[in-house]
Amino acid sequence: MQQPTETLPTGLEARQRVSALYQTHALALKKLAFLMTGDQPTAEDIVQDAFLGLCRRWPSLHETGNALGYLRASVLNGCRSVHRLRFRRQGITLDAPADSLSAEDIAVLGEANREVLAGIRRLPPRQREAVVLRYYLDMTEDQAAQAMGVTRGTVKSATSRGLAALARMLEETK
Amino acid sequence: MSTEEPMSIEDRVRTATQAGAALVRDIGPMVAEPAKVRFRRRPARPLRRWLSWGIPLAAAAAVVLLALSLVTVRGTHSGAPALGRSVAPTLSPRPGGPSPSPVPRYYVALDQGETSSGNHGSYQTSLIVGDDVTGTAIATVNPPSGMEFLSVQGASDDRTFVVIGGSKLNPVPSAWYLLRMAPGSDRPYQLAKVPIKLAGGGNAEVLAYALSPDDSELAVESQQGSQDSGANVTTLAIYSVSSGAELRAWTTGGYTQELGYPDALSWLPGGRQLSFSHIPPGRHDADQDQVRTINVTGHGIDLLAASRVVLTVTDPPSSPSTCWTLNLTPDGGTVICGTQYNESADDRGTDAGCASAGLEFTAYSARTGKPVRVLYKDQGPCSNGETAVLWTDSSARYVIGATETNLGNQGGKQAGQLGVITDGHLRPLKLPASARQTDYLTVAF
Repeated sequence: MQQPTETLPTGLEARQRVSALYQTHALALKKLAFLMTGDQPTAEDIVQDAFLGLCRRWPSLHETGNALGYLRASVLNGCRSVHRLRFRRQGITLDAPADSLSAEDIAVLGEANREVLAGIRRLPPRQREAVVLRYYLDMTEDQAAQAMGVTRGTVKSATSRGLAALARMLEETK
Repeated sequence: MSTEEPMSIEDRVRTATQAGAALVRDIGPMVAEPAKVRFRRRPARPLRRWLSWGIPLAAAAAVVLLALSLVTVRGTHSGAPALGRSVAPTLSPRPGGPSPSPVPRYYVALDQGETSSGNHGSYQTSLIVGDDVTGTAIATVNPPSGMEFLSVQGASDDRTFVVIGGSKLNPVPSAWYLLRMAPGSDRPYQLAKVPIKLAGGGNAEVLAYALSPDDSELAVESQQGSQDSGANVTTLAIYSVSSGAELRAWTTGGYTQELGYPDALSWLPGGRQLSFSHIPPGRHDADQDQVRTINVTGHGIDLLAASRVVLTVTDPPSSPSTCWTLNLTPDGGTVICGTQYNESADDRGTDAGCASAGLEFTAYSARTGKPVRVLYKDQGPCSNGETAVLWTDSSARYVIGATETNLGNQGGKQAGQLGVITDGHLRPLKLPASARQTDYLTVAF
C-alpha cells in the first residue's frame, strides 16, 4: 500500500528546502544543543554539522516529516560525540570550561536555574536527553523515544532516573 | 525569605531549561559546503557501470561462497551437538573438536549506522545480524514496508530473537516478529510475524519481553496509564507465539507502579517461572530495587501478591551509585547488579567520586542477599556513567555487559565497552561500530 508521503526534490531545490529548514529550526536546535553541552559555540557547530549532514542525506530521505526528526537526532548525536570529534579533527582536546557563561548570563539566569542546568549536564547522556526532551521540548515519551532512537520504556526509565538523580544533586547543594 | 511553595523537580527543570535556552539568541548563517558534499557522494556513472557487469560477478562469487559455507556447515555438524551453541574457539578452545561456546555467538542489533559519524541522524530501520566472534555481519534485515524496528531481544538459544516493530509514522510497538538465524545456509535468517496484540494496543508501553525456553510463549511486561486514577498499571502477560492469544496476565492493581528496567524480564529454565526487576511502591527516588520471580502456573492475578522477592538492593541515602540493571541468573542463585554513577555535587570539578565508587558488575547471592563478588570493575576515569547486563550464563561465570562512561562536567569525552565479562576482565566483542553506538540496549544476544 502506498504510504502517504511526499517525495522530496533533489538538487538546487533540495538545497533551498534545507535552507528554509535552517531558517525555521536552526535556532531552536542550537538551544537544544546548548542545554546539552553548556557551550554556545559548540552548540552552533553541532547544528551546522547536522544541517550539512541533512544536505548529504537529502536524496535518501523519502518523507518531509523525517527532516526535522533527522535533524534533532543528529543534534543529539552530535552532543554526545562533540569532544571526540574535536579531538579527531584538531588533534587536541577542547573540554568546555566548567562554566562557559558570561557574567551577564549568570546574572540573568539566577543561581537556582544554574544549579539545575549544571545538574542536568552531569547526568549520563541518556538521562540528560530524556529529561531535556520531555521537560524542555515537552515531547511525549513516544516522540522522545523516536528522537533518541530508543524504546518508550527506556525513555520513561531514563527520565525517572534522571529526575531522581537531579533531585538528589540539588538537595546536596542546599 | 521566600514564602512560595517549593517547585516540583519537573517544574524546576522546565523553568531552568527555558531560562537557559533564552540565553541563545541567534545563530550564524548556514555554512555552505557544496564541494565537499559533491566530493563525498559516490558518482552515479561508475556505479551503473559496475552494476552492468558486477551483478553476474557477484552472483558467481555468491555461488562459490555458498558452496564453501555448505562444506563448512557439514564439517561443523559432524562434530557439534545438534542443538548446542555454536563454536567460539577464541573463548573456549578444547582440544579434539569444537565445544559449546560460553556466550551466544550471534547477535542482532538495531542498525545505528547513520549515527556513527556524528553527522547523521538516528534512523533505526534495519537490523544487523552478526557473528560476535569473527566480527562479521551476516545479514541486514530490513523491516516490512512502512515499518521500522524498535527493539530486539535474544532467546534462550543464540539463534532466535524477538523483534518489535512499529509504524514509521507512529513508532510505538505494534508488530512482533521472530527472527531465526541459519548461518551458512542460503537463507541466513527468517523473519516471521507473531500475531500478538497487546491489551491496551498502542497505549500500552512495553517495558520488557522474553521468549520462553521452548519458544512457544512470549512474556511481555507493559505499562498503561489509567485516565481515571492516573495510576500506571503494569501488566505482565504471557502470549502464545503461534496464536497470539493471551494465556495469563497479572497486574499491579490500582496503585502507581514504579518503573522497572529495560531487559530485566527473563524465563528460568523449565519455563515455569519468570524473573523480573521491580522498584517497590513509594520508592520513586529509586533507592531500592528488587528482583522477583513468579510461577506462571500459580494462582492469582495480582503481580506482586503472586510473585516473591528474591533480592532487595537498598542504596545508601543520597548515594550517587545505584543499580542500573538487576538480573537474576538462570540458575536462580545469583543477582547481578550493573551500577550507574551520577556525579554528585560533592565531586564538582573532580572525577574522584566516580573513580572510587566505580562502575561495576556486582554479584549478589540470591540466598543470602549479600554481595559475593565483583565480576568486573571499570578502572577507567569517569565523571558519570552506567553499566548494563545484556546476557548472563546460568551462574554469572560469563556475562555480556556494557559500560558507558563520560568524562567531564559538560558531557565530555565518552567511552564505552561491550564484551564478555569473566574472571574479572572484560573481553570486548567484535561488533561493527554501527551496532554499538549510542545505546547498548539495542544489541541482543
